[in-house]
Amino acid sequence: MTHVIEAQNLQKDLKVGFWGHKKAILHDVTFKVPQGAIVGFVGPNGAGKSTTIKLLLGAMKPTQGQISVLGQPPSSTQTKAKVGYLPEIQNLPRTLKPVELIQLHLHLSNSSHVNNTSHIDGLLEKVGMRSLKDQLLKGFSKGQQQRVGLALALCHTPDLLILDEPMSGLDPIGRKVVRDIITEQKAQGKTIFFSSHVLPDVEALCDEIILLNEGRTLSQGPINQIFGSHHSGYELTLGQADKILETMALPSGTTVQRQGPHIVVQVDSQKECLRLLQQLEPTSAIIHKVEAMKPTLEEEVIALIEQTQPREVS
Amino acid sequence: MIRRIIALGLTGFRQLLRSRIYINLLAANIFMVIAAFVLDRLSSGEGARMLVDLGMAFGSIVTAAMAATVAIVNLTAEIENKQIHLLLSRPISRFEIIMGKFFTVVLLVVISNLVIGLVLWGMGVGILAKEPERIFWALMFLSLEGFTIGAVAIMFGVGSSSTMSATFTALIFILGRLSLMLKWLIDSGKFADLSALLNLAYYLVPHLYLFDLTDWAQGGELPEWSYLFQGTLTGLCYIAAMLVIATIRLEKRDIP
Repeated sequence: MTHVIEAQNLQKDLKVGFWGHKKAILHDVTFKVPQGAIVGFVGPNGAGKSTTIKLLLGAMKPTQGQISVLGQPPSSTQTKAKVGYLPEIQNLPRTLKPVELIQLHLHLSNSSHVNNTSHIDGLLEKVGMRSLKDQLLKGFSKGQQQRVGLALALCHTPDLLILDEPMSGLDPIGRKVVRDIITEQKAQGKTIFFSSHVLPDVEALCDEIILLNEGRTLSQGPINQIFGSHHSGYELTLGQADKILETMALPSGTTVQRQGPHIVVQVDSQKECLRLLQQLEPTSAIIHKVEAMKPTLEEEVIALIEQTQPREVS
Repeated sequence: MIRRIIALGLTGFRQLLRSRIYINLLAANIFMVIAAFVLDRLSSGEGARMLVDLGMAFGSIVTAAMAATVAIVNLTAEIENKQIHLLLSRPISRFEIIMGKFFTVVLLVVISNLVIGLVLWGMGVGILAKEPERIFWALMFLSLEGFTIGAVAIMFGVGSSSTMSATFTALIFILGRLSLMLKWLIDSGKFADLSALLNLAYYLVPHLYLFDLTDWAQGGELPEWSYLFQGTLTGLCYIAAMLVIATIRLEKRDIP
C-alpha cells in the first residue's frame, strides 16, 4: 500500500515566554496515511494536532524525526503544489473578495485556471458561496469564511487535502457540504487527512483514525480495529409496558427509563435480552425496537485517553 | 517567479487601497502640503523655499511612515494572526513572499511620491517658483528612502512583534537621517570612549541623507552624477541586504 504521508518519531519543541524556554509539544508522533483514504486526526485540545499539521505543511520543522508528504519533504514546492490546506482559524484578508483571493492562490499555485471564471464559479458553487463571490470578506461570518477557505484548499485540484477542523463553526448544512465534498474527493481518488473534534463526523467519514494525546500517537487504524466491535448491552424500546414491567422480576443491573410515550429498558447481556423478550411475548406490551448498545466513538476515545493517563493520587 | 511576486504585490496594494489606511495617510500628506501653501501667504517672498522644505520633509516622514506601516501590517500582522499559513502552504518560496510584500511597499511609495510630487509641482507653478519641476524629481529620488525603510521594516517584521518592528524601524529611520551627524561625532573625537559603538551604528544604519535633494530643489546645484550614482547604489545594496536577511530569518523561523 502506498502512503502519502509518513511521519516517524516526530518531536517538536517550541520556545515559549520572554526567555524563550523550550516546551515539548510533540514527544513521539508516528503515523502513516494511505493513499486514497479518509483519515481522521483525533485528540483532545493541546494534543498536538495543529502542530503536527504545520509540520506536514513545512511551516515548522521538527526538532527530531522524519516526515515525508507525497514522497518528498513537506517544504518542497513540488509537494505543496499537490496539497490543499484548510487552516483551523480562518483569518482571510478582510479587504478582498472571494474571487480575488482564489485568483491569487491560483497564481501562487501556478494553476492554468487563473483566468478560468467557470472553474472559480464552480468552486464557489460547490461550497455554496457563489452568490457572495463579489462581496468583501470582511462581512463574512465564521462559517462563510470556512467555506471560502475550503474553496481555496480545492482551487488547484490537489491530490492530498489537509484540513484542520473543517467542521468548526459550520451550521448543519455547512457540515453536510463539507462531508459531501470530502466524500466526493475520495471518490476521485484523493487522500483526505483531517483533524476534528466532531467525532460523529469522523466516525461517519473516516476509513482510519489516528489518535493523539499529549504529543504522542496512541493508536492508528480503522475504527473497529482500534476499539473492537463489542457491545455494552442491549436496549429495548417498549410501548404500553409500564404495568407489565412492574409485575416482572427483572435481572439485576437492568435499568428502566421513561422516554416520552415509551419505556426504555437496558439489559447487560444477549441472554437477558432474549429472556425478557420471551416474558413479554404473551403480554400486550408493544416492542418498538431492540438494539445492541455500542459505545459512541466519543466514549471510546475518552476511555482510551483516560486509560493512558496516570491517575492523580488524592 | 516574477508573476507570483507581482500577483502578491498587487493584491497587497489592492488591500491597502480598500483598507483606507493608505488613502488617509496620503490625504494627510496632501493636506500638510496645502497647509504649507497657506503659510506661504504669511511668509514674505519665501514661499517657494517653504514649499520645498515642508514638501520634502512631509514627503520624507509620511512616506517612510507609510512604508513601515504597510510592511508591518502586510507581513508582521499576517504572521501574528496566522494568515500567512495559507501563503506558506502554496508552492512559493519564502523569498518570493518577502519580495511580494516588498513590491507592495514599492508601489505604495512610488504612487504616493508621484501624487504628492505632482501636487507640489502644481503649487510651485502657482506661486511662480523658479524651476518648480525640481521638487517633483527630488521627491521621486526620495522614494529610495521609502524603499529602504520598507525593507528595514520587513527585515524586523519577520522576527519580531508589530510593536517591536515599528520601534526598531523608527529608530533606524532617525539614525539614518542623522548619520552625517554620527560621522561628525566620530571625527570630532569628543566621544572617544564610544567611538566603537558610534562606528558600528554609522556602518549599520542606512545613510538616508544620500537620497535628499532638498538643496537642489531649492535652486542649488545638482550634485555630481557620481554622488547620485553612489547614493542609488548604496540604497539598493542596503535594500538587497535587508531583504536577504529577512528571507533567511523567515526561512529559519517556525510559524506556529
